[in-house]
Amino acid sequence: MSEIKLLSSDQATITVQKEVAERSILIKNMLEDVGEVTEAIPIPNVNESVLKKVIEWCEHHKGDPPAQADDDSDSRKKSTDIDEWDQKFMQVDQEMLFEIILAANYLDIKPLLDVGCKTVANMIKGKSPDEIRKTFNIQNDFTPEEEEQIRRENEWAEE
Amino acid sequence: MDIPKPSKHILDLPNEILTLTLDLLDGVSLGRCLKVSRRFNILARSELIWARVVSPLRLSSPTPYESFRELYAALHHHFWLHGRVWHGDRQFTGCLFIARYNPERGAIQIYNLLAHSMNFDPSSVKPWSLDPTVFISDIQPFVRLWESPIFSLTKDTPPNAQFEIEPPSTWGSIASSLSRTTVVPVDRQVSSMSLWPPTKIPSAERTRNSSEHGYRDGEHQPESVADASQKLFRFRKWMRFDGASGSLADRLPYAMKEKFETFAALDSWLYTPDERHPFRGLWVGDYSVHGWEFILFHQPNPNRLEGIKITGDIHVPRGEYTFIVEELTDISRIAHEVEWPGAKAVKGKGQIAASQFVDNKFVDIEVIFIGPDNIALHWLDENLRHISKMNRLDINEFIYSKAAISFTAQDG
Repeated sequence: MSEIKLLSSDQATITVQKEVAERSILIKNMLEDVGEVTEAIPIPNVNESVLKKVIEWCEHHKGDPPAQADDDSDSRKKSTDIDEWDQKFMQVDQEMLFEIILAANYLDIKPLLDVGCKTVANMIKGKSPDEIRKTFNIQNDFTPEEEEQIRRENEWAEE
Repeated sequence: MDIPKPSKHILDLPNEILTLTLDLLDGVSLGRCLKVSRRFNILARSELIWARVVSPLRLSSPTPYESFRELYAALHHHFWLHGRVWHGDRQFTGCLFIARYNPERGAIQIYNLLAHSMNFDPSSVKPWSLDPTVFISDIQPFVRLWESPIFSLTKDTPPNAQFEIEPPSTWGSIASSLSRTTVVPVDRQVSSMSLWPPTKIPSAERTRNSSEHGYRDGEHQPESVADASQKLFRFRKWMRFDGASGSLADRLPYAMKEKFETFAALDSWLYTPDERHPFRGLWVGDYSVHGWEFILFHQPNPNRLEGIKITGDIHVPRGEYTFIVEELTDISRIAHEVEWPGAKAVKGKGQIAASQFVDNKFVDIEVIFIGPDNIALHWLDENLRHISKMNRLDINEFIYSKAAISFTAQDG
């Protein structure tokens, strides 16, 4: 199994199986374009600790079948179910969680991006607006007038 | 050594990713996101997301509402009812309700599904070419939703604190309501308990359907919406005595004042055929003097077919088997008679009983598969000697088509 090298934003070189790295559509397309590479591929947007975490996910999921077409209404219904391994994998602090999501987006790893979004959605589910603000440290930036109007408009979603 | 990491925050995520995330939420959680902050409010207003939330209604436009978001806000209390086939435990006959969205009214409505015969035509009963002493009844059923809905539910009919919905009464002195109920956990179900739906019909949720106290004791009433079953409800009817003297009301026996029926949703897989279970479906069958009855064709595995009455009659009531084919692959003959040449026939058992389901027993039957949506049932019992037909219903037609309720548009 051939290996390639990745260079993180903080200049760390990480060696990884080609098959694992190709979970990233960005890297896969890049390798297809340039053919054989010996030097490390720069990943300028992702630092070492995040890149290692993303590679850990890709290792575990290297044998997964290719993603199926979305928009199947049945799969949408259970859309926030996450498999056990991924749940454990996502038990990280919020900064790391958002870093993983951003890296998955940049590297074009759709299934990892999905797991990240589901994790965030599960953190929002069932919470009141105030609890959501506290969970994510979000500023309530409505003016009192706006807040009153929005409250009236959405009385139905009272907690 | 350590390079200070720029600390990432949820609002560092680009709009596309936040939108992907919000698109995974249920309507109520999404409604709460509207109130979090300006950016959350803008993103959570997306009509694309709200169209997904209300997608079970299969609509292309939110009219009469301004937006899909408003539609959901108005109907979210009642959404769980929509798109389901609800079968009730009315004594002997049972009852079939369809809950659906009415785009003319912007309401979720519950209709009674009825089957009756078109005008009787004597030529529709003919002797069978193979045996003229057996008669084939070829009357066609007329299946439709009853003109006026049992309930019409909008934002003006929210459930009360006991999770009971009481829409304005349409039948004068008879009032009715719909209320949420609890589920009896599987480990507390015992055979002596009267449960709905009956255990013949697969369902993850069952509830008791007998109560001395009008289902008002704690075990029947959910403590919160989260405790309430989304697959069961109770239908209550009672007499109003507005203006009548109290003494009249007091003199009436309790049972006349108030009646309950328990309803359960049929899981859609039960009536959705697939390659290995082609007979699964909701069918309508001819029961001669009893009229037309709705039958669930339950195929628990590819080889077995059970006909379970969803509506029934005083002989074989709702919830009972009407016929069972143990082995669908055991073709007993290929029909050569002119009525259905080439049709495959199998042997089975059909259930008959005296009035009030007394002395029930299974007799031999032959099931003739005329086509994917039609079968004939030949009762081989010497007292019956007839062949009746059963036809598959297109349930989605009643749930989604405007034509199925077009009459309600005319009554103003």
